[in-house]
Amino acid sequence: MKLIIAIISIGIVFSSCSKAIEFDLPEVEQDVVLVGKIESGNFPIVFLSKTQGYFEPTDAESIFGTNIHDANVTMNDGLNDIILTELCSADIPDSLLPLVSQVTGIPAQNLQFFNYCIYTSLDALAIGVEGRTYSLYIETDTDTLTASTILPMSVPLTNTYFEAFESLDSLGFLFGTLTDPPEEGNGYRWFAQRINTYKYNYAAPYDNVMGAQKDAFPIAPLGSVFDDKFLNGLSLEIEYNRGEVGNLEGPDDEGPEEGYFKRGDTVVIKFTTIDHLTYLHLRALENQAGTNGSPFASPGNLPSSVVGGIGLWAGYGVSLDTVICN
Amino acid sequence: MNYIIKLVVNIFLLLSVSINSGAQDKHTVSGYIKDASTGEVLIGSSIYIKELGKGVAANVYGYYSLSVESGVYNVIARFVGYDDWSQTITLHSDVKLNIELTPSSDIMDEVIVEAEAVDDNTTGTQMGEINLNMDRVKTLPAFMGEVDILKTVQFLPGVSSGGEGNTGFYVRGGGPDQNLILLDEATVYNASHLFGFFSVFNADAIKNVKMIKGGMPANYGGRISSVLDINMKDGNYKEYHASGGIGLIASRLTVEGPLKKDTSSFIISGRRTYIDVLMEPFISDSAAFKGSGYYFYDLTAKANYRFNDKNQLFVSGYFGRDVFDFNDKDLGLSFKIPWGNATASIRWNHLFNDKLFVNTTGVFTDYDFSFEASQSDFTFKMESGIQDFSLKQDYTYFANSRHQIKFGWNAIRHRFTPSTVSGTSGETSFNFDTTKIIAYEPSVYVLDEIEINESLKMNIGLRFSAFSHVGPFKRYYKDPSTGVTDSTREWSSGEHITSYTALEPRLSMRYLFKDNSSIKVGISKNNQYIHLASMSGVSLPTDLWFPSSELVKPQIGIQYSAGYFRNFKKNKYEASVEIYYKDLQNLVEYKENSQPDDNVNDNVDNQLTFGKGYSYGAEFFLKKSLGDFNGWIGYTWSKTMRTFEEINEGREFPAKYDRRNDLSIIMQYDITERWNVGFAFVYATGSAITLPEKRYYDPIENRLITVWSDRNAYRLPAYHRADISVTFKGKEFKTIINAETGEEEQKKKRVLSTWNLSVFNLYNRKNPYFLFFDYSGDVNSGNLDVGANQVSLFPILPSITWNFKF
Repeated sequence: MKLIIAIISIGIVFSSCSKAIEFDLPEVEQDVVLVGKIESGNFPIVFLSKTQGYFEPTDAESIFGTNIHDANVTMNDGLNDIILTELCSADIPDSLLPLVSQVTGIPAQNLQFFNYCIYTSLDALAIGVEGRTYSLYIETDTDTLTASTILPMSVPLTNTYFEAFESLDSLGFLFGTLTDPPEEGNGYRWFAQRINTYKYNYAAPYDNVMGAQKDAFPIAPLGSVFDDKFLNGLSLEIEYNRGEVGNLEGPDDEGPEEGYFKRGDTVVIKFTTIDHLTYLHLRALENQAGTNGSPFASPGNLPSSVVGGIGLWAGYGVSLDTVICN
Repeated sequence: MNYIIKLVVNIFLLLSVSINSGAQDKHTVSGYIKDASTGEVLIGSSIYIKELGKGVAANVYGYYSLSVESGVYNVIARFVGYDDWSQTITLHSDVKLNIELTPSSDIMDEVIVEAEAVDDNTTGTQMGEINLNMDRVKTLPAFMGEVDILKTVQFLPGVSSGGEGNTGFYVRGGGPDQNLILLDEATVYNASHLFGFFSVFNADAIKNVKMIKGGMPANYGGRISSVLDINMKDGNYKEYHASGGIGLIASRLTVEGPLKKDTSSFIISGRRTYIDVLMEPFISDSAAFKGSGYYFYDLTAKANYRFNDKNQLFVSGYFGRDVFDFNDKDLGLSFKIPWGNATASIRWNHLFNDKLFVNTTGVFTDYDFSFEASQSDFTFKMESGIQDFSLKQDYTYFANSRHQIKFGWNAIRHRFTPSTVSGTSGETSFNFDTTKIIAYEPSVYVLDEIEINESLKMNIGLRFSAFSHVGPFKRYYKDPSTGVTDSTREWSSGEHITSYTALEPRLSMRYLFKDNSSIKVGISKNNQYIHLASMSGVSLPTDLWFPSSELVKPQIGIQYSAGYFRNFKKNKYEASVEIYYKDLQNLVEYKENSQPDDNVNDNVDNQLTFGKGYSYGAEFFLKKSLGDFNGWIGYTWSKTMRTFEEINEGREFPAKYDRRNDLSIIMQYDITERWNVGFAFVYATGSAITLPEKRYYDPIENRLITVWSDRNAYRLPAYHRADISVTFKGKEFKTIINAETGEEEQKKKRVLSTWNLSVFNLYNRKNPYFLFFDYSGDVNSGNLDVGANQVSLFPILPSITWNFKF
């Protein structure tokens, strides 16, 4: 939870006597990467790519050049085999991009500029259903991968509300009450999306955001992932700040509004359930993101549920709740 | 177990029979060897009978006993740093001879000592044993002006530090938990203050430091790699004295004196640091860090009483604490990390007769740390600790001039608290299970130091150790794929859960050649029942001590060593080459991706994985101990590898502290009687490190994900630095005019001052503390960048300390 951030903060202290260094890494064999999710009520999304050397060029061409095309991807929901086919953003009409952005979590202008390719199926049978186990079977030119995840029953939050801080007139966090089911092993992830629009412009380059929807898709802040180890069967109130999209700074992600929700926002809380293996991977992922530079994290690779490659195939049990911040 | 004890006792009886048969008209000369000016016993001193060519070393309490035939003998007593003492005695009956040695005014004067310099390098059986002379240690370059035993020990071949900022030290490829650190017989679990900057030992209160890195004799056990046996001073029996120092980082004060002259004495020693100076280089100017600080203090106290010739009682204690406070107003975050050791021991020396000496010790040790964090409504506290009670007896039987037998037993009761967690979030408090683990660790040993003939000497011993885990205890059986507890099992208080026993044979032999060189050979087996697992690459208070259990077997180490020792120029130069091979079983590590909160509502050992390792190397050592110019050069070549099934996919990987090359050069020069300059240079191959080798972009999370290389597949840049120190002694005497005679005369000054200027890291090398990698920007914005940074801790650090003594 937020404990992770607390421990990591020590790392900040040491950044005062550092210097940049360079070194060459030898050529190594690359892994196949599967990053995918299936949410209740939504289509599956599967990205396939290969890893690159850590110090390889970081431009878009280099990164997107690792995508794997023409793979055979089959999803099984315990009942049927469903073929997932490749769909690229270059083939999608611009008018549909916001919807794709909402579903995938990729900013719309990026879908427009770069060619994101996913494997999915628009068949009704492919839509995620709570309680099912979803398996993937993937064949590329050179590799075979399998993965399996549970899409758990969703657990809704109750009594969600916004509260501003005493010292900050209109800025604050979101709160909700979670009642954890009695059985052990429940994992959770919190997302929040502001669906209202900007009322004014910010400093350049954000000087024309007025009228645009604040968040294009649900965002999970660091610390969004937790399980019921300390709170099994308990009812407790959780609170969250406003997260950011990776390293993409939005108009209000710097300055006084950073991390806060604001009076007047309309926020959709997407509170999800995840299975244990997904929890372990995402917890390690957030730890890696939060410890970007700390000496106190052990250099362990993210625990992967993918056989034959690395990455994550995650099922999310979704419950939505809208909060109007007063 | 009874069978074994009977066996051992029988062996002992057999030996004593063989010793006593053929005993003719023998008499014993025995007594204590002490410092004439303070009354402190001299550990490691020895007596020698010239006519017979026989001698014996005093034991750790300064007691010696030598049995020879009747006659008239020239008895010589000696100890490094003291004038030789000799006396002719007539031995027709048992003689009690307490000896007082005078400290040498010209400690290392070549001319005086040349004739019969101490030759322990070649003649002692114990390989890999080094005794540190505290006077010498005090003139070595000291980090920030603070004389430090652990730092000095790391200048020796075979002993490497964890690198700057890391607590613990590594001996011949063994982990930091494999060193037995004793302070007046009490075990010290964490011998370092914050990040290994300083050890917990205040040099002013220390009398003797002994480090054994090769095959410890049977009277030591419980750890695999080394013994660091530290004895505190007893306190001046004759006069009151105070000494101390005021330095940039810390100040110390020691007060000692007689409670009853020559019968009873005490010593109290304290030290504290100043917050600001330490934290200053690390805190940036942002005010958010206000309220953060760090300090530590140590307090040692000791008193003793000599009831009569046969009985003496010692009481000693140590208490130390580190407190680290961190606040960040911007994040609304604060945390506090207090930790420390507390030890107390009571020891009773008793002489049954001239030949049989026993020391009985009761010890209490407590080490604990806690980590408390709070952020607005959310608080979290994690505590861990270990508490020991132990009782032991060590007998020394000076059978005759050829056999010195030691035997004894030790019973320890451990109480571990691997993790206690509590927390609150607003109104809700978190549930947790407080697990305390109780274990017993009894052991019994016997050893004999045998002088088989003039050339061949042997130390042979057997130690029997046992370990037992008893309730109350709750075992969680977890489903690995869901993390859910399948079932639990509980044991009630005192109920037996699991036990281990082991026989640990120890053998070392020395063969002395005519030209005063020697070869030594040693084999030893050691079991270790308690372990330390570290969650990160850098040591932290989150490193936990925990005992063996049904899942965790005892660590086993078998070490083979051999060495060639030779002294040159009448013992002015000591040289040695030692090679060793160490085989390690049942090593312990956390599984990859473990987090501190995993230990709650679960057993610590469910997060562990086990493996084995080996280490081998060669150590070269050349030392000049006498003369105005002295010092040593030590070079070690070594290799240390590990194999764990669940780490690195079962492939062999180097231990983090695998240091292929390690070089130390220490030099001291007494320019005049009052000026001394010391110089130290160290070079070590960089630590092994895991680097990010690959990466991929996760489009769902919008993050760049790092894929790490094989464990420890790469190396940090080499570590090297030079330190220098200059010590200036104030005048001992001042000139006064004698009121009666009107003449000038010299009077000893009341307060003696010594100034020390130390410069650490003379050429300001930026030695890597750790590397960190970060990426900034985002591929979609076109500003994604990946970078590597190196953090170094200590730039060039000068410091001045004023030391006083009165």
